[in-house]
Order: sequence, then structure tokens, then C-alpha cells
Amino acid sequence: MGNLTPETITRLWSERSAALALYARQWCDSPEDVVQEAFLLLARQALTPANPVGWLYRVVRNSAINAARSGRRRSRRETAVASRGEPWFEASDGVGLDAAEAAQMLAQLPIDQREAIVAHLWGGLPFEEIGRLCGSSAATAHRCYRRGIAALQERLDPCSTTKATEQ
Amino acid sequence: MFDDESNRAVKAFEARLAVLRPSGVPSPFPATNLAAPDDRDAVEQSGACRPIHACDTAAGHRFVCIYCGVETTRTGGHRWRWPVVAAGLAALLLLMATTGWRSQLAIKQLRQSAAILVDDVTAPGTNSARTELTASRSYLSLRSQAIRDGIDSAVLPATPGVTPSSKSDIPLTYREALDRVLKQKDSWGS
Repeated sequence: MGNLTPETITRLWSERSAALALYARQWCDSPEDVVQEAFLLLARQALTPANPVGWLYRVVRNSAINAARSGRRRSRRETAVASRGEPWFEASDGVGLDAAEAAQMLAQLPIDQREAIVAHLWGGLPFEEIGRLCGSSAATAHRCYRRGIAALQERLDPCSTTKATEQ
Repeated sequence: MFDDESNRAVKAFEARLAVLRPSGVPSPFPATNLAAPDDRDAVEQSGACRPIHACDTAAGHRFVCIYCGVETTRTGGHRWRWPVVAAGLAALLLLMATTGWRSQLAIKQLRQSAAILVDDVTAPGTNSARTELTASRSYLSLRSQAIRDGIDSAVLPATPGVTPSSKSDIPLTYREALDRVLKQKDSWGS
């Protein structure tokens, strides 16, 4: 395995960075820093990781949790200022769900469900990979995902849930 | 039937959710991403590490070597910070002190001692017992030092010509031994 080419890193960045930032956001308030550092770290690797995407998710997860730990040591005011931060999603065009509301509802889910949803739905990771990241089985990751989606659906799209139940 | 409908509703909801696009992140590889082609050529020609472009919101953009992490110029020249330079110089001085420099100093000392020694012994009318003793001690001291410096002890007589029965032999023996030492030392220095 050789070095990653600049083109590969660029492609990974354009395809993965936004989802990785959303993933990092589940733990910390400085997801941009975490993701940028992860990519810089990837670029410095002497040997290309066997699975660069999985490697990036692992690094981002660890860094985000570390950042959250150090963030907790800050004063309450600083944390409050930071938490006002960036929106999780780009503004929706009116066709889909409301971005701000979706982010708010997502933020209310337990962390294991949030993590599974973000990693699978926006990160495109298979449940086996998510299980490895969380230190659980693929089945557990899948269960978390299902529960989280059901909870979101109930809050964001109650009509569809009701219809399905009635039928 | 119920499961099918429910699954369809979930799938439809997933699709609607997936349409939401996560907010973008400022790239640490802006513009042309990594070094521009012309920069890359320059870097490759210069043989330096390839820089990457990192975003620093406080001080604008900066380049970082992807191999060692040191901040670089646009074409890959490393901007060594002063602690790194100081550490490098200290290591160099230590190396000089333990090898070449020390060797040069030793040679200088040996030359001075040899000159005094030879002058003392060969000076007319000064070959008293005291002078011989001093010369012998000096020789032994010089010999020990030479051995410590790595001179093969086989080239150095253990005693400076035993008794000075033949006065002309003693300076010759000293000279001979010292010349050999100095020649060996000189060859090191070169």
C-alpha cells in the first residue's frame, strides 16, 4: 500500500467531508476542526489505510469524543456560545423535510441511534462498519438505526406513521 | 400487508430525510486542492516534500508537509521553527564534540606535549635524573591519553626506552612513538 494520491484525498474530501462533519457534530461543537485534522492526518499516513473511509470515521469519532471531553472543561458560557454554532443541514428547498426541525429532532435522539442514522443515511456506511465503530454487532447497529428512524418519523412525519398503522 | 405498507412508509421517510444535505466544511485543501500543478512540479523538481494546503482561519492559508507535518512554503521548503533549529545545532555540536572536534583538540594537546617533551629531553645539559623522570611521566601520561583516544597501544612503547644508557636513543624513541601517534591522529583528522 502506497501513499494516498492528492487526487484520492481530494475525492474523499468532496464526497465525505460534509457527512463526516455531521457525524462529528453528534459529539462536539467543532466538527470542522475535527474533520480537517482527520484529513490532514490521513494525508500524512506513510501507509494508506486498508479502508480509508472507515479509518476516517474512526479518527473523526475518536477526535470528536476527545474534543467533547475537553469542551466540557470549558466554561459554561463558552460552551453555550459554541453550541449556537452552525446549522446541521443546508437549508431545505421546501420539497423535503424542514432542515432545522430535522436537526432539532435528530439532536434529541439517544447518541447510539443518532450515530447509526448519521453514519448510515448520510455517511453510507454499512451496518457492519457502524458496528465496528461503536464496538457492537451489525445487528445492534441496525436495531439502533431502526429505532431512531421510527422515532424521527413519528416526530417529523406523523401522518405517514398514522396511515401505515391504520392500514 | 401491514409490514409492506409500514416498510414503504419508512423507506419513503428515509429518502426524504436523506435529501437533507449536511452543512459543508471549509476544505483544508482549498482552490485547486493540494498544491496546484505548477507548484507540484516545482516541488518535485526541488526534491522537497510535497506540501498540502491547510486552512488556518486566524492567519489565512498555510502549507504543511504531508510527510513530517512541518509548515512549508508554497513550493515545499520547510519552515523550521527556532526550537527545531536549536535542537539540530545542539545535536551537531554534540557530534562534533564527541568525534572530530575532540580529536582535533587532542591532536593539538598532543603536539604541545610532544614539543615540550622532546625539547626537555633533547635540550643539551638538561638530561638530569629529574628531567628524565618528568619526561617519563609525561610520556606515560601522553601514552595513556593516546590509548584513550583510540591509538593502538601496540604502536606505543610501554616505557620510554628503559634506562637512558644511550642518551641519543631516548629522544629518538620518544620522537618515533610520538610521530607515529601524530601521524595516526592526522589521518583521522583527514
